Amino acid sequence: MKEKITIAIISLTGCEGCCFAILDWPKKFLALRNKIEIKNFRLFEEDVHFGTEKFDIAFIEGSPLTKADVERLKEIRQNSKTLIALGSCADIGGIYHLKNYQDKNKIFNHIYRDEAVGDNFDVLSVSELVKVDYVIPGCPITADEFFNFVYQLLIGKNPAVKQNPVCYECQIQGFECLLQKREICLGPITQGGCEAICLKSKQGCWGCRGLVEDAEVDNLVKTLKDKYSEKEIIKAFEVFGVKEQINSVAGGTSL
Amino acid sequence: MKTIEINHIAKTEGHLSFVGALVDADFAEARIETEEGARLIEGIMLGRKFFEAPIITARICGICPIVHNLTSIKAMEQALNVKVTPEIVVLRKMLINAQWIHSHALHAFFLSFPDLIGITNNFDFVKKYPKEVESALELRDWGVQLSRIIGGRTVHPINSVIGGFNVEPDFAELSELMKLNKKVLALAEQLLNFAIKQKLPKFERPTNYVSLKTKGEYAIYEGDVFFSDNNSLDNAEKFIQDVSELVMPREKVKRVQHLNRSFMVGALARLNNSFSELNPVARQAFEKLKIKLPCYNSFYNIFAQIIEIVHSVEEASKLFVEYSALREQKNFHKKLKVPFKPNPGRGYALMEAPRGILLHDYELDREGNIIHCNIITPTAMFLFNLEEDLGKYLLEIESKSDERQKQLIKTLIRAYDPCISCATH
Repeated sequence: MKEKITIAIISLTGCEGCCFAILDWPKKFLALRNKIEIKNFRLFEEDVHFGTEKFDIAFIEGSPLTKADVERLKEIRQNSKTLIALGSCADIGGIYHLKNYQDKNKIFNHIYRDEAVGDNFDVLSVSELVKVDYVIPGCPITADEFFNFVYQLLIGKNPAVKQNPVCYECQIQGFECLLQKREICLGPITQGGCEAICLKSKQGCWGCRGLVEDAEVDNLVKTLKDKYSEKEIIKAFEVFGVKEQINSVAGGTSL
Repeated sequence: MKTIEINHIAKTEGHLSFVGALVDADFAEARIETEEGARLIEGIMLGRKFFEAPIITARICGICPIVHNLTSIKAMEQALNVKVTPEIVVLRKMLINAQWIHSHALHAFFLSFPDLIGITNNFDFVKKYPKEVESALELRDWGVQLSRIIGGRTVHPINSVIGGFNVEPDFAELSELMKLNKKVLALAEQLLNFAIKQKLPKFERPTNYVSLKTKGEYAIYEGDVFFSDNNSLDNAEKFIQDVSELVMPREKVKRVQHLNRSFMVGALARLNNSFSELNPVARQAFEKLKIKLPCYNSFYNIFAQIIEIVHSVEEASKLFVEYSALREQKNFHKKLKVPFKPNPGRGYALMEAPRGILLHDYELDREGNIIHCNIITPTAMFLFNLEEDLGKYLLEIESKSDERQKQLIKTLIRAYDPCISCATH
């Protein structure tokens, strides 16, 4: 019998919401067991497989925010053929990355009243520490995308997430355009795949899935400037970490 | 001096370890060490806009984002003088009940229950009890779908905002789901009957059970704070004054005391304090357990959660009937969101999260910027109580093999359903 593919699912510091998103489709998750060996899914088993054990695919969720997180991440990278960043935190820093806009020592000492409680790391994405082969974006990820991704890998296809902006999916579904209502929405520059789920609830997109390829950031900024100050626009870019992506990938904005 | 260490205890939310030491024949020390990094959520909120808080704080925890979202919303509404409608409150209560169902179902059946039958890997549990697992998943999924329909998504809600709801939950979809309530209730009862066949370890240590209390209902969304040790009630403001967060060396969780004493929150605390408000089927289920109250055996938290699942399925069904009637009234659609303007002020709120009382407290400036944020979570509240239980329990199980001791310690820790992501935030 052919050996099963081994998959590791690892949570660093975070909310573990991406793991719970996978469990929203428990039957599919359990069915995966017929094809693959799932290891280190700490919500499901007590056995821990670290050290020298090898994995075919490792999914990493959360932020490397402790020494142990960083060591584990490097170890997993070394021992895995393919490493996948799962969700916004691992992908682009996510919500916790807002910490980087504060004086981190000041807020740390305020919360812990100057007591030495431990490390106070900057919030980094996984790719700032190790090589990432693929990304499943979103806060949280969608279970649908996760399973499709795994199925594609199993049949040896390239599972890269397709590139189209959230706007495209929003229009297909016929949701009301919040930009036209002059609300802040990053749909035009954000990678789709979420079926514009926030727009369904009339919540503007804040870019949890990161920038889409060839995002026209300046066009969006121009539209938003009609009503919002530069500061307000930048604040919206900050929430999930899009601001850094704009500066590094898209070569900055006119802001 | 004999010591016991258990590193990286799996099947809990977040990362924790245990260190215990038998000091002498009458005294053992037990400590939970948490291993989450510093996200500093309360710090990152500073200078950000009030409307970001429910979205950002939901991300504290992926298993109970709904109650973080709603507690943050309720606190902000106090600060902003927003008075919400009965329509909004009914939907919110349904949403929290949905949260209880899927959080409890995951914990009770998949994180804690395998301990009671001596299974460490859930994939083995699935193989051995396929029928029960299927039922537990179906039950949990009902709660998940209810969260999705009202909140807009299962993990990290979108539709619930300060002032109410952005859009009306799809009523046809909601009605279809609610048609399954009898079936789901039957599943919950079957699972309780299956669960209570397992014997829980013997243990007892009197404590102070603390939970919200409202006359005429099993408090979930609002109420005063009830203390079982002296049968007294405090309002939220007094409770906030009387609790203190203790910073300890090398620990990112600030443990909580009430008037310098440990206390217990969560399903078992609520059951002890409010059992008379349980819905009928849950009440019968509770009677089947044949336990005398007060029940000071913390392992019973697992059964208390399953009783609450039964209660919450009944409660969600009751709320749906109420909601359907409100929906027939004139101008219903205008009542799902209340307009308001930013203003400076302070707002705090308490709610019953799956694991117990959750507190959010904010202060806003004139422009609606957050200038103060404090969040106290149930796990931070019960950690001292857990450690005191563990200290006593260690002495009681001293004669057992090391392996068995470790297993029992993990079972007790998991019975509490600690959420270290929440506690650290």
